[in-house]
Amino acid sequence: MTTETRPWLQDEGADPALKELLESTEFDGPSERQLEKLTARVAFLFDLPPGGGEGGGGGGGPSAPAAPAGGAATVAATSGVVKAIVAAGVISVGAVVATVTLREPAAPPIVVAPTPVIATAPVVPKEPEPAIAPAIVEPAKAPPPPVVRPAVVRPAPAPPPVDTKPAPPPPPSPDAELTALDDAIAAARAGRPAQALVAVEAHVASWPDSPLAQEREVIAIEALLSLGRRDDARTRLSAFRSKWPTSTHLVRLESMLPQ
Amino acid sequence: MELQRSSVGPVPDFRALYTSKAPLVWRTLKRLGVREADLEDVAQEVFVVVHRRLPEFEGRSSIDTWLYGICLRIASDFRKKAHVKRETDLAEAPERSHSGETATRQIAMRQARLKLDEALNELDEDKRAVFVLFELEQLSMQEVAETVGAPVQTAYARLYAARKHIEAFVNQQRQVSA
Repeated sequence: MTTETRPWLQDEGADPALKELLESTEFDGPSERQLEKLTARVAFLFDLPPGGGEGGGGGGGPSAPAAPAGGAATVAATSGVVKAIVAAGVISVGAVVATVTLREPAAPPIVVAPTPVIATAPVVPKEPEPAIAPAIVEPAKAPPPPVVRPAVVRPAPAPPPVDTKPAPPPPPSPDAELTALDDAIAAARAGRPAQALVAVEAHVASWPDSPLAQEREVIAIEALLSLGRRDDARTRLSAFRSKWPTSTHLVRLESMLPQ
Repeated sequence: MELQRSSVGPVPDFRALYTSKAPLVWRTLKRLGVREADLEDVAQEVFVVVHRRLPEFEGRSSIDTWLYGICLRIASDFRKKAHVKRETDLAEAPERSHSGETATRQIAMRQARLKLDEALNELDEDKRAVFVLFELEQLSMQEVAETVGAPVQTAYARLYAARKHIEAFVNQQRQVSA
């Protein structure tokens, strides 16, 4: 019986609401930009012989999942990687963080709190360090002093994020914002642009800095166009362009409102 | 490009493997609960491990199954190490649009994606892994079992439990919006 179980997405009898939920993962893959950034961070491995040159440690058969990112084998294998990093010169901080993570000994489970707050300046590790992590993120000779915090090698009882700034207010509930925007979406879908516009403005008033601001503006511009208010739409598009010059929505918006 | 390897064949080429499998790794990590802001770091870590372990890959499983196993392990370690909060911040959702999709449709999909994350975050790690691999990655149950290192029947039991939870979540959402 169990062998006949099929994924919901392939099952015509599955609840459409479930399918809709699962179909929302359609775009889970990386964007081109994300892929480019990842490639830049992984590229140092392309010319290295696989295995880190030191056997890569034991454990785990061919189909076994990888060993935890830690342990002596990892440390040994990582040294080759670190050499490559040194050879590469400058690498991103993220790469350093990931390397540090791999170097940690297996026992203490927490070494790197992956708070991307660590630094934005590039750092150059000087040379491969022995098994333990501390000195990994040493500053390069001249270039910008890395802002590396000691928290990189924090021991186990990790307090919450490193920030010294006052705690930010709790993020608003995504649901509330999305639900509020539903009115605008529903009105736009139903061909009631004036109502969509009102709903958008109400959303702006309640959540001026909403992460959905771009989508909200797209709805507003489309609504204005539907109402024949091209000048208003153009003004709003201009503000949109200034605020999000690299937005992927721009191509479509500009095609609707050619200059 | 040599990605399927026989037990005596050559080691798969890392660059080719990265090029063809980076999207798989990325989306799998995301589905396993790695936050958007951390995906780049964690995906890089996966490929460092892949690079190191590549010579050990003997082709007894598919390369995908092997990669899924690495993703599962690293995503799990990452969450444990980082005390990562498991909620998805709306603010960190990527700013992307997809050609052919209207803004309205995009928002609806984004909304559904957030809800799915909410539901998945309520599952324990084992059930989530099986659910993601079977329902989203659409691996066979044999491959799922192999990847998570459990007997097939156990994998099925986890899938059914996860499904039950997701169904209850969807029903609850229906009642709220009714």
